Amino acid sequence: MLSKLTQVDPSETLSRFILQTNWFSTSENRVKYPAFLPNKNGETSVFRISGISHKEVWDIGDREVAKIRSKPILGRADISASNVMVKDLKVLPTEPPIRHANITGWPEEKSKQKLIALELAAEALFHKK
Amino acid sequence: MSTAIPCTDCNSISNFPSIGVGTDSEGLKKYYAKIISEFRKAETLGRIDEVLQSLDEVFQECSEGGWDGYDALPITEDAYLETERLIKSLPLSSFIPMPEITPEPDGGIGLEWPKGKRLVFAISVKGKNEIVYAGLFGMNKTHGIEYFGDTLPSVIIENLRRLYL
Repeated sequence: MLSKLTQVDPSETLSRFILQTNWFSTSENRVKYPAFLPNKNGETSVFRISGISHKEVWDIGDREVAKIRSKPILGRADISASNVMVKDLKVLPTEPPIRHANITGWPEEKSKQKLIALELAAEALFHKK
Repeated sequence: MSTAIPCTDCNSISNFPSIGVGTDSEGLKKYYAKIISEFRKAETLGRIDEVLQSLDEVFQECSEGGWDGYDALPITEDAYLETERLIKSLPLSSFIPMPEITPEPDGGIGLEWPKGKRLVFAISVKGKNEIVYAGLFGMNKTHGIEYFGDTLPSVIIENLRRLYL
């Protein structure tokens, strides 16, 4: 089990749960860039999923995201932490809930955010639920 | 040196046979060209209608905060109206497909042209007469912000051409 203080290693896999129908394409099996854009606090919420099964990942999404937000999980986008860090972003463990982290350090400029989100979406692996 | 020979059994529907002569033939040629032009216009306008319908759906679905299941800001009417204006200002070209509409968590509306892995161009507006754009063209990248007045900024058209032409 990961502790609160464990720093995120570049080799870890992060998962972004998708609850919006317009943020993925089923026909192309891809996630779209807005799924990675930061919220108004400059953070993108993700979960650290290395070492656990697909079922456990979906369980985390249902328990820690869908239930709290009262919206179903429609899919998830998995991405390597190294792909995030190489773009000068940070992945900060933010528990509870367990395994939760935020992608922070986004540039102020909106067009730079969009470019980084396009790259993350291109590098992510989409799983439809 | 080679000689061009017209292919008589492989005419495109949009090509009028050029073997006729005289004023009647010229008149028919112009009439045929007009029909093809109207047909193409109707086809393109049909695709614009589909995108505008998609925009309506996004606006209805995302006009209250938290629509993404996280903390997204609501899509405003200003953003909706500006996106409508943006879509109507896009070049009517058969080479450039209509974009996919996608809401953004800051309350903006995005238009995305995905062509393949690391081949994508995206723009967005929020009702502030500004277009935020970014694109991946293989290993090459671009991004920026342009003023959106009466016409679509040329840099947007250039990037779409870069992706599709």
